[in-house]
Amino acid sequence: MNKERIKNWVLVGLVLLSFGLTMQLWLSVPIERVVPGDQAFSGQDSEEIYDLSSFVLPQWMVVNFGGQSHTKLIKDSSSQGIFDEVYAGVSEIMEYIFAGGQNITFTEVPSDELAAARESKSIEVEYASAFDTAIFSELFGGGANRESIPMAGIKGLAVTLGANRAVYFKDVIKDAIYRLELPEAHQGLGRLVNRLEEQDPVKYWTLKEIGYSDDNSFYVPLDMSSFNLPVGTAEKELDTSAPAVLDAQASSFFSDMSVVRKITEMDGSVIYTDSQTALLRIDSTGFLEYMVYSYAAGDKNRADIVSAIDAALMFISAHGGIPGQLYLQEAWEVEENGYRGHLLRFNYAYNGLPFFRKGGLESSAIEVTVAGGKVVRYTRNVHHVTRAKIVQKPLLYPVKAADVVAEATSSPGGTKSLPVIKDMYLGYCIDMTGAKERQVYPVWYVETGEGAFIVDAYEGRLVE
Amino acid sequence: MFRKGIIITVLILIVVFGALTPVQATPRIVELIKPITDIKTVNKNMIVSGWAETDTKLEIRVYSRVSKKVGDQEVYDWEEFVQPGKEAELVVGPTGFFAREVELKYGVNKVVIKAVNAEGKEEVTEGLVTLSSKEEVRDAVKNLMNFNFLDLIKEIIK
Repeated sequence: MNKERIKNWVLVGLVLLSFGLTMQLWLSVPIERVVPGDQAFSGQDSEEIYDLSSFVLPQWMVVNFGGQSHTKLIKDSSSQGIFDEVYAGVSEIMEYIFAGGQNITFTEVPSDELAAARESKSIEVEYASAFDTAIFSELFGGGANRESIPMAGIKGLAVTLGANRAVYFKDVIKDAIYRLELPEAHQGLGRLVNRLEEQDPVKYWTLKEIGYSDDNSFYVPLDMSSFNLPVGTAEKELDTSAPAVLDAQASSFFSDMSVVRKITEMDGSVIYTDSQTALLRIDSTGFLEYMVYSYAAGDKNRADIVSAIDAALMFISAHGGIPGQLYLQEAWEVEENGYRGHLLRFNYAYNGLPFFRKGGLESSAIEVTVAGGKVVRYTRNVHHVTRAKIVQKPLLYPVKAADVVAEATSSPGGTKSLPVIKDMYLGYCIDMTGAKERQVYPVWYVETGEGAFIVDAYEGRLVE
Repeated sequence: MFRKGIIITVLILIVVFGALTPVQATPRIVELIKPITDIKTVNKNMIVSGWAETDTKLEIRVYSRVSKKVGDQEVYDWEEFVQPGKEAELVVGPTGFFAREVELKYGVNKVVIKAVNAEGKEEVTEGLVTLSSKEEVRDAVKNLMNFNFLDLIKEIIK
């Protein structure tokens, strides 16, 4: 009898040990019964219509007052009004081009002409990456007048406001610059720029103007006292310690939760799968990944960028919601299992500045792959700023940030040469290494020939 | 006669070698990228940038010219224009490059750069920068356009 009891206990022990070793628990109860209805997301068939213009916005705009006098506008709380006013003026010009259908003629011009335009009174608009012209055509012209547009992808544009009114487009795909003469009607922008100049905004400088290098492609500020960027704490969007929250999230991805298995892995990641069509994985950091196995019912040749963005936005909204200040960062054409489609990378901003993730600099907050008109892959790693406080000290000067990069890239004790900087701007960094609350602080993003670096803009330490 | 020849030869040699020997200029502590002397500008903000040895301490200050009445006479003096929120001091980093933006007041400004290197050696560089408004420049150009050079030449000939 005792022997039998010992055997039973050993057996129970072995079963428990097997669970412990594999950390895989099979969910025997359908999730709908576990998860209260109001915690579940609304599902992926949202009919909500999205305004594309809210997601395809300039990363920044530079107003050139003529000569070596420029200011940079970002969509932050301090200059949002003027940003919106200037962009509304630029949008009017874009509408004239993309919706007008008039006899508009573009001329390919040498890059010197654009450089000269930037030195005169003008406005430069820069997007996060080179976007397909079809996106601009949809944004500003409802998809019309695409035949007369020679550009394949637009990274930025410049509008001159002097006597010769023209707009210049940078086509990075064709590596060309196109000019279009503007009619006299678009004079409102000139008055707006004069008004802005009277307000004496913070000045920005090119590296050439500073004497750092010959590069004049981007602008940095040198009056750091004019910035008042808070530091804060952020929480991951999904409380991964609460199984009910994760189950609720999962229920928005699977139409029939009764057939969904839940697997908990050794590292704390939770996997939901119906074994047939899709898999959802949420790891302990809150990173969510959804993959579709079955591409059935998709259209193999459907590769329309605008409908891909629409599908992606609807999917994001239905699966976690659209974070504040979300914007389209990049869009690439891809082919998945023989289906043509697009990989869309979204990021979000805080105070108008883009977020970077320590430990995942190259990763995006949200990535959506749309193939054959369907979302086939979706990743999401979003944090919400919960608290913020003002720091009573000036931000690190850009030259000091370059010094930090020089220290990092040169051998100890060796001579420190100036790093070749290709781009440099302020952003925010989330330190992903924290437990529940993560530190959020302003950083300098420095892109050099040797890679990208993140420098803490208050402490002057190399973050990544 | 022979002695005279030697003296003349020696003197000639001194003159020739003296002319050929390059003057060993003392290296400057700060090498500015753009000189700051006698600049006329319409930009309220100006960049002071350059190179110096690592750990060189710099102080970049701007003084504006103010007029004061001393008795019946009007005298000019320099008054520091404290840059709001900007630190005057900086320490040159490991690359040796530095850059600062300074704000100017309308009229004549004196920009003073005081540098002290790691060995404690001091150097002061200063220059005058005149800030004019765009309207002033526009008026000056207008006057120049309206100026009749022919009348001036006639006046001189008279």
